[in-house]
Amino acid sequence: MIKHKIVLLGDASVGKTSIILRYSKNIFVPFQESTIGAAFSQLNTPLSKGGTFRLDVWDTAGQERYASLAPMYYRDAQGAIIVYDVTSRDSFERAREWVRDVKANALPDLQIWLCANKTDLTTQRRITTDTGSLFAEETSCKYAETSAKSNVGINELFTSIADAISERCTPPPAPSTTGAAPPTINPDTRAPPRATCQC
Amino acid sequence: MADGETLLNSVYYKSLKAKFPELLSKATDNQGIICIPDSDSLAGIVLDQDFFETHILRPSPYILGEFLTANGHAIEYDERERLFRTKDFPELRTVRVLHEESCYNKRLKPYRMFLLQRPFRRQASGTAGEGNTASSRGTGSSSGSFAITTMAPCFTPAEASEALERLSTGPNRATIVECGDTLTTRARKFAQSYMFVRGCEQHAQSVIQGMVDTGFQTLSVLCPELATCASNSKHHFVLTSILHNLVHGAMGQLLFDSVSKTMAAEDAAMGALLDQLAPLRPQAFGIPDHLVCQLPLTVELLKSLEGCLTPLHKLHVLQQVFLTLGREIELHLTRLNAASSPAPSTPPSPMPSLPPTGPATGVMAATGAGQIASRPATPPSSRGQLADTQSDPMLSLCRSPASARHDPILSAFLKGGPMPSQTLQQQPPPSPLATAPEQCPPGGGPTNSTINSSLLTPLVRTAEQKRALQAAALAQALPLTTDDLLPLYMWALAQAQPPQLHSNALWVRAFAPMPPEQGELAFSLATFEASIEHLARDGPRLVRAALTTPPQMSLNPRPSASGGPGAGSPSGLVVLGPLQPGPPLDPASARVGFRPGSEGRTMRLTATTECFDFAPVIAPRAAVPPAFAPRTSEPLILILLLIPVVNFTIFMLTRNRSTFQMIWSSVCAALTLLIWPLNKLGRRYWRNFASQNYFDEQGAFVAIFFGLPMLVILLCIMVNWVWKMGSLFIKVSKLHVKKVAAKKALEATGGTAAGPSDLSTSSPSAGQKNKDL
Repeated sequence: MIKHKIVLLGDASVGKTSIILRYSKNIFVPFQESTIGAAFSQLNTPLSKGGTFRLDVWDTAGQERYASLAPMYYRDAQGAIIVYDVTSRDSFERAREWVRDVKANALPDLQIWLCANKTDLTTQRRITTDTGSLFAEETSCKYAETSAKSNVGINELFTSIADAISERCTPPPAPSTTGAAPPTINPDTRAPPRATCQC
Repeated sequence: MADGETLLNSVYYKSLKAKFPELLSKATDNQGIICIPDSDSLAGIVLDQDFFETHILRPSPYILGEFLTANGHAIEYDERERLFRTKDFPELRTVRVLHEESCYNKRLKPYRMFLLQRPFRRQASGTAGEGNTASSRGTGSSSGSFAITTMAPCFTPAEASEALERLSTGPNRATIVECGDTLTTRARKFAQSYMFVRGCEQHAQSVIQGMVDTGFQTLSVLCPELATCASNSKHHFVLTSILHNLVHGAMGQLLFDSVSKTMAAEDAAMGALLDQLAPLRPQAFGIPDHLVCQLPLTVELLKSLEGCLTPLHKLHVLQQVFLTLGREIELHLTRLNAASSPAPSTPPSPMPSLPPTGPATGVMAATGAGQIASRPATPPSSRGQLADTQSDPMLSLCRSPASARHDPILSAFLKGGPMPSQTLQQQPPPSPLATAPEQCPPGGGPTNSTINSSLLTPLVRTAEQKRALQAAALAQALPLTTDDLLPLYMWALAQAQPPQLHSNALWVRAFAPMPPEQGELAFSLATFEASIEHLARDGPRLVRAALTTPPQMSLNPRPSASGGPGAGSPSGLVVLGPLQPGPPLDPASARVGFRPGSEGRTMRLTATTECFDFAPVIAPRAAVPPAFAPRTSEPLILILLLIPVVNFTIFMLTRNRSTFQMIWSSVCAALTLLIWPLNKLGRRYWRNFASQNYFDEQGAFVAIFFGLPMLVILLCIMVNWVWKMGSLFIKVSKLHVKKVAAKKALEATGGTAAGPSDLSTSSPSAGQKNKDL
């Protein structure tokens, strides 16, 4: 149905939105199609082997009262970024719950990135790298440390997501928009757009 | 295609403005109609003066509904179908109007701009246009494939049949038409015999998909070029949309009726809930204070949802709702920001002189222009944007929402606009990232306190408060996050009160084809569903919280946030009567001319949307007891209380009639066993006999009020039986003992001859005793 859908999950105030904002500032797209703030963004992510890959990033509501709605958002996602704040143990606990929930409810081949945000606040840090990466290993998630404020690890995170998902969908999708396509999208156009990838 | 087409990136408009400004200004001064052919359709056409003049129209002085081009050709316009028909060009063409926009010229007189699907004629002296190639090949199929590349996805059955009509030009016409007819007949037959069962929608999906696929195959066999054309995913979707709409158009409302029948209970509950939610303050939904504003267009669009006939159309409207909501909020934020930053060079005084559309939309349009012009550089300040607004009133036009999708303007706001840059780079250091671009409700420092105080006194905002709010909005200046979007959406839903929300969501989810690579549609549908879901779950609590809170609370400087509807908004406790002035959407402040339905893709904002001030109507409502509290006056409760009493009386009266009691007890036992289905029935039809829904999911109410008394009665009957059986047994044994004793006495006293006579004398008494039993 939808090609490359990534959901951003995490407690309120862990920095989901700032990650997205930071990233969309980093890769500058002149005509970004969607504009509903940070709730939904279409990002043309550069791949490590060259070319770009389009990701639809769905922001979810982080507030506790909307927690029950999250499954409606990650229902058919290919990837999930679960964000926690390294200065808050609660947010890490919530992230663990998110991982469990997502694993239980989402597509089986969904890939999870556990993202430790706000690493710039070294003095207030509560969750160490070891704790985070160990948990990620246990649950076979990928682990990333980012700081949206000082722009650390954001590009790498999205590139790794784009790499992983583009690998899974072997024939990379060609951009279908011919007229107003932004100049940044330039993957090979010969690939059939209605690709055979499962997602 | 029309998706990406806006005035600002239209090749035609740009070159018209650059090459023949005098032509343009003359046309606008005369209030003519400027037709702008879609950029994609201009391939191979040389844009010369003659071509431009062909597309500038003025009403014909002689014939109604006819227009004259600037170089003197006559063109007929069908207002209803929104079609132009050329009359005296070598090639007679029918040209569809994709969008209609109204603008204002320098003298503030209105004129119109039509975005055309293709030009009125191909270049006379031009190189091979698409018309040339089509005519040189001269086959129907090639013109069909040409048509598909120029078509937008259609959203109504009428549009679909029209599109099919356009596809079927040429020798294959009859077969294509027949193919369409077969499809519609099949669809109609299917719909007549279909009954929607929740959870089993896959069957219908596959049947409909099968019909579409068959149609698709038939078409591709008929015109192979159409098939190659449709291998492009976009064109494929166009074709799918045509077929889908044909199918759904043929099925009419049958399918939707079937769905809505299944969801009737949920829909009715939601309708009642929305009724109760409508008068609540926006803050009660958890909307942060700086985002509170009127959403007239969004509400209008949500209302128009009812008029849509096919799931694809509804999906499209939902997308428009989503985008319009974003636009309105951005507009609101920009205005807040613009008003808060002093602008000495361009005071807002010229604004009121603009026509109603001007201030609201002009800011947006011109901001986009300024933004794009200075694109790679750092974004200009909001003051600079305002200056742009005044310089080019031409641009002060309201764009139809359909074209908003790829609107660079909005992206200009969000992408490089002042808001994110301020938050990310000019954020004061003390608050680390947590208070930076984050989606939590107003938090941190001085803004927090100002916002809180303004929340707690829901009177008309004083100038001071307004300034504080604006400052907060500036400091926050966050792009919309899902945490903000959901309450806004819910509030818009409560204002619009579209009927049958649950059915709509289910219907669209089940039957709308999702175009590939269109995450936005999916996201708007998900937001719609999530809002409904949350409303259904949380709405009653919101209403209760609002109703049970005494209005004085709103004036209390420190209301307890405990039990408040939203963790983020202490003001959620506050409830007001109807918003003042007048209805929730005050026609004086926002008048929206909107044509819903198929032709409804033109929308004009005819008045400025004013910043929303909530007047302080503290209307103390009658204290309504919290929901689910059983009321003794309720007939249902009375009946339920009476049942055990009657039951017990019957039991007492008939305690010696064992047959009756046996039947009676089996009936009681059956009813007790049926308690779960009864609860389900009650959940569904509680409106018919109760004022509130007592039937909770676990069935606690039914168990206590119905099951428990039944069980007690059953227990009594059982005890009665056991006791009776026990006493019978005792009597029988007593008799037996007596009999044995008599026998023994007989044996002891007399011979065997006297025995029987003795027995016969004793047996009547035994029989007597037995009868007594």
